[in-house]
Amino acid sequence: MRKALATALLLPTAAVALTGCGLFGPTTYEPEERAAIEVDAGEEFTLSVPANPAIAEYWYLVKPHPDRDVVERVGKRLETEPSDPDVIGDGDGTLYFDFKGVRPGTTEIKLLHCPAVVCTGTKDNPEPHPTSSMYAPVPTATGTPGNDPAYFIYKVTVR
Amino acid sequence: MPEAGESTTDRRQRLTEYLGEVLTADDKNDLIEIINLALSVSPPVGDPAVLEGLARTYRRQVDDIADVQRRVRHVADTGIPDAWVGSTGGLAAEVVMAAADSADAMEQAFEAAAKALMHLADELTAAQSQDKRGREQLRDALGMLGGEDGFFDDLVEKDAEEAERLRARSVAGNGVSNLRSAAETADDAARAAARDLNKLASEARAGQMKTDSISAADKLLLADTSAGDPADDPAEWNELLTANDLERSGRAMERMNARDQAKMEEMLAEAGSPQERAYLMKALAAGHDLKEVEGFRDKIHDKDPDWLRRHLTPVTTAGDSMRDDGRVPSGGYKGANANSDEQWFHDAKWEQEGNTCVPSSVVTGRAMVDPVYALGLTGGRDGKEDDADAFTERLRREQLRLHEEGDGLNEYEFPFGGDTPAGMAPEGGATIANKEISPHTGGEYAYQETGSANARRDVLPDIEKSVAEGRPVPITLDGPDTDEGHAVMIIGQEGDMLQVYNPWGHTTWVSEDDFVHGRMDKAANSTLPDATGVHVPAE
Repeated sequence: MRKALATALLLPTAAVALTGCGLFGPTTYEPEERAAIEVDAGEEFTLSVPANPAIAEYWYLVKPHPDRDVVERVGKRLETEPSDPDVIGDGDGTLYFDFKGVRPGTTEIKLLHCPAVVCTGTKDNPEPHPTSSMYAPVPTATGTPGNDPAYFIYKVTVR
Repeated sequence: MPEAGESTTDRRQRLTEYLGEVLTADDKNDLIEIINLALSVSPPVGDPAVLEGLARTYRRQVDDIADVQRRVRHVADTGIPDAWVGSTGGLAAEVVMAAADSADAMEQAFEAAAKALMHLADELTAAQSQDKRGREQLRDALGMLGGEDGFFDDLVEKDAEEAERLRARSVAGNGVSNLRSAAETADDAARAAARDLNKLASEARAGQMKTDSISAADKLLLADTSAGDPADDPAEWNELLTANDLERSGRAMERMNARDQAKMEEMLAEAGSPQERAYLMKALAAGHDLKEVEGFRDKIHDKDPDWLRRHLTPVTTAGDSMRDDGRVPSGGYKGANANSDEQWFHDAKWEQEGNTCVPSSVVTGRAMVDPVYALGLTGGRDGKEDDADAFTERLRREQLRLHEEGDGLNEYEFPFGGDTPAGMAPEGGATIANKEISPHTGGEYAYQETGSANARRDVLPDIEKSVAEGRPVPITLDGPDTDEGHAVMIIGQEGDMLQVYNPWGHTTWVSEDDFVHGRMDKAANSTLPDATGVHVPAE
C-alpha cells in the first residue's frame, strides 16, 4: 500500500482555506450547514460541494430558483486538485456556487447532486435531471452526499 | 528498394513527413534527395485479381446457403413436436431454431466476407493506380531537375533555374501527395478487411467447440444462446458464450476423464433451460473444475432466464444502444454520448466507489468472463441472495481488494476519515488484469502506451480480435486538461464501432475513428478524449 503523504500534508491548509472562517473571502457553507444559513444584505457567500471528477460527480442549481429579491446568483466555479500524472483514476474537486444577499428575507436554494449519473436537461424537460428512469431524486436530510442523485435544499436568511 | 519489415503505418507516416519536406524544400539537391526517399517507400502490396476471385468464391456459396437457410427456417417456423435430441438434452425444436439462426448467420457471414474482399480489391486497385500516378510525377520531377548540383553550381541559382526548381517541387508535391493518399487508402482498406474477417471468423461459433463429447445439435444450441432480455437486447449482441468460451469449454471437456465427462453431460442434460446449460459451459470455459461447476450448478439450477441474466451477466447491450442521440451538453458528463446503457443489478449499478476506476473495471471485466465469480458478487456466498444493497457492499469490498492487489495509492482523509483509494499506476492495472481476468480467458495482458494516433491505429486490430473472441481490453483515458486519467474497458465490436464499459456504470459505443483521433470523451467526459494506454491481451 502506498500513501499520498503530500496530499495528506496539504489537506489541513486546504481545509482552513475552504471552510467558512471568512479570512480569505466570502463565507463558505458545506452541505451539512444548509439548514440555517444567515448572511447580511450585500454580503457574498458560497455553497461548497464535493465534485470528484474521477466519478463525474456534479451539482446543478435547479428550480425553484431562490427569490431574487433575497439572494442573487454571482457565479459557479469548479476547482480540481492536482494529482500524480503517473496514477490513473485519482481525483478530487470542489464546486462553488457563489451568491450575494440582496434584501432581508428568507429563501431556499435547491441543488441536485449527481454522482456518476448523467444529469442534463432535455427538450421535454429542460431542468437538469437524471436521464435514467431508474432514478427519482428526492430531498435528502443527510449531510454527506451519497451515491444516488438527491436534492440538497439550503435555507438562507438575509438579515 | 522497399525497406524490409516496413509496416503500412510506417509507410503513411514516412510519406506524410516527406510531403512536408518536399513542399518546403528550397534547395535542388535536397529536393532530389527527398523525391528519391519517397520513391523508396514501397507501393501498396497485394493482388486485386486474387482478392476478387476469393470474393466470387464466397458469393457463389451464398445461394447454396440461402437454400439451406430457407428449408431450415421453414421447419423452425412450422414447429416440430417436443422431443429430446443430442447428448445433453437440447429440445429438438430449440435445436432447429438454433440451426435456422446459424444458417441465417452463415448466409450473412458469407455475403459479408465477399463484400469485405471485394471492397478490399476495389480499394487496392484504386490505391495502386494512384500510387503509380504519383511515382510517374516524382520521376517527371526528377527529370525536370536533372542531376544534382556540384558545390560551385549550388552557390548561385539563376531565375530560370529557380523557376524550374519550383515547378519540379510542385509536381513532386503532387506526386508524394498521391503516394500518401494511396498508402492511406490501402492501409485503411486492409485494416477494415482484417477487422471484418476476424469478426466473421469469431462468429463461426459452433465450430469453435472442438469436442466429441457434445453433439453437433448441442453445439449449435449452446452457440446460439443469448443472455439478454429478448424484448430489448438483440441476441447477436448478447451471445452468452463467446468464441473464446466455446473453444475453451470444448477443450476442457476433451481434457476430462470419461467419468467426469459423463457427469458434465448429465448436468447439461438436466439443465432447466438453454441459458442454464450455457452458463455451465461458461463456468467450465472460465477454468473451473468439475467440482466447482457442480457447486455452481446447485446454486443456479432451474432459475429462470431473468434471474440468470441478472446474477451472471453484468453487461447487456440494448437494441437501440448505437443510436446517435448527440452529446451531453454540460455537467459532469459533458461531451459524453447521450445514449448509453446503464448496467444494473436491480437498482444498483455495476459502478466504482471512489477513486477505484482501475480495479472496478477489472472486477466487472472478470464478472463478464466468469459466471461463478459474478454469482459470488450478486448472490453472495450461497448464491441465493437477490438484494441490491448487499450486492453493492460486496462489489465495494471486491474493488478494494483489487485496489490493494494492484498496489493502489491511498490518501488520508483529514481529519478522521481514514485511508481512501487514490488511483493506481498502469503497472498495477496490468497486475490485476493478469491475476483476475487472464486465468479465465487464457490471454496474458501487456501494457502498451498509445500516445499518438498512429500507435492507436496500430493496436486496433489486436483490440478488435480480442473483444470479438470475448476477451475484454482495459484502456486508459486521459486529456490535456486533466492529470488524473481514467480506466475503462473495450468489451465489444460491431463493424467499425467499439463498445466501451465505463466503471461509472454504463456502456456506450464509439467509432474506430473516435478511438484513433482523440474523441473518447464520448465514453466518459470532455476531460478524457485520448486513449493513452491499452492492456493488450496476447494469444
